[in-house]
Amino acid sequence: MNVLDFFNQEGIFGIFLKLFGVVSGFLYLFFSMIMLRQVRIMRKTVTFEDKGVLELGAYSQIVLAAIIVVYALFIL
Amino acid sequence: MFEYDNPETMETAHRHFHSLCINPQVTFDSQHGDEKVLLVLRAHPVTFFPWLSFAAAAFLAPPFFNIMLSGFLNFPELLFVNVFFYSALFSYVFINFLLWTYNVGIVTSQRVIDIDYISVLQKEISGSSLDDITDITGKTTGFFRSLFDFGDLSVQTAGIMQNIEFAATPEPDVVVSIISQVSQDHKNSSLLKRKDNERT
Repeated sequence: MNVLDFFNQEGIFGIFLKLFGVVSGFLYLFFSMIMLRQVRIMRKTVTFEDKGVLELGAYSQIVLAAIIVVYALFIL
Repeated sequence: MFEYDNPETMETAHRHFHSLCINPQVTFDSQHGDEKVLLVLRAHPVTFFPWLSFAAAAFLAPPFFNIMLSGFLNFPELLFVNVFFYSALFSYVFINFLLWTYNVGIVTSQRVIDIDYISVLQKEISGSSLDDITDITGKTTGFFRSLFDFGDLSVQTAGIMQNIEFAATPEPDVVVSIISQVSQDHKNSSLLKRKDNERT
């Protein structure tokens, strides 16, 4: 039995992945919120007709981050 | 070839995927009331190639690492890895696009302004009055730059004032011609105003 098989049998990969998912999910959520704020500042610096696409992109990041956090906490 | 007449008669044009906007409907935060935006410059869309090709390659990668990881992870775990990977990839593309969108050079009826975002959190703004412009140089070097007609623009200003540089600007000859003409017109009108003031 090699080391990888041992970790696999003991479910250590799963525990490691859950821990990684929760921590990185929260970090991603924090980053997405900063991005949204930054996009708003950028839009104030130079204003052009983007039909809100950039702000939508920033909101999409928050949604993705929330999905990652929920998935890591409750499904993994 | 674009011919500059005066700011009022210039037709609105957006060329090269909005990297060269002539007389656009754009405003910026330090704009004066009587200041009109004549040009908005961004890097040529060809500069997307490195990050866009990396993103395209990364987009195709998950099936390969799914096969490699399928022995160690069950389906929900694999799905999580994929969701996380594509979210990170989306952020990578979004940030690069955002930086391209807001790294702009603006030529107005009074000033030349360069807004640089080194990263999303690091902004640098430099500007110079049209009166202070002494020389404008457009430099196109290399095969791809010649092929796609883009180059670096250097706006030199008088004295100790900082020079302004626009990187990978499309159609540099057109931009140089517009800026030099706008600058010349502005200097002429300033001179006329000064003479009128002296007479009165």
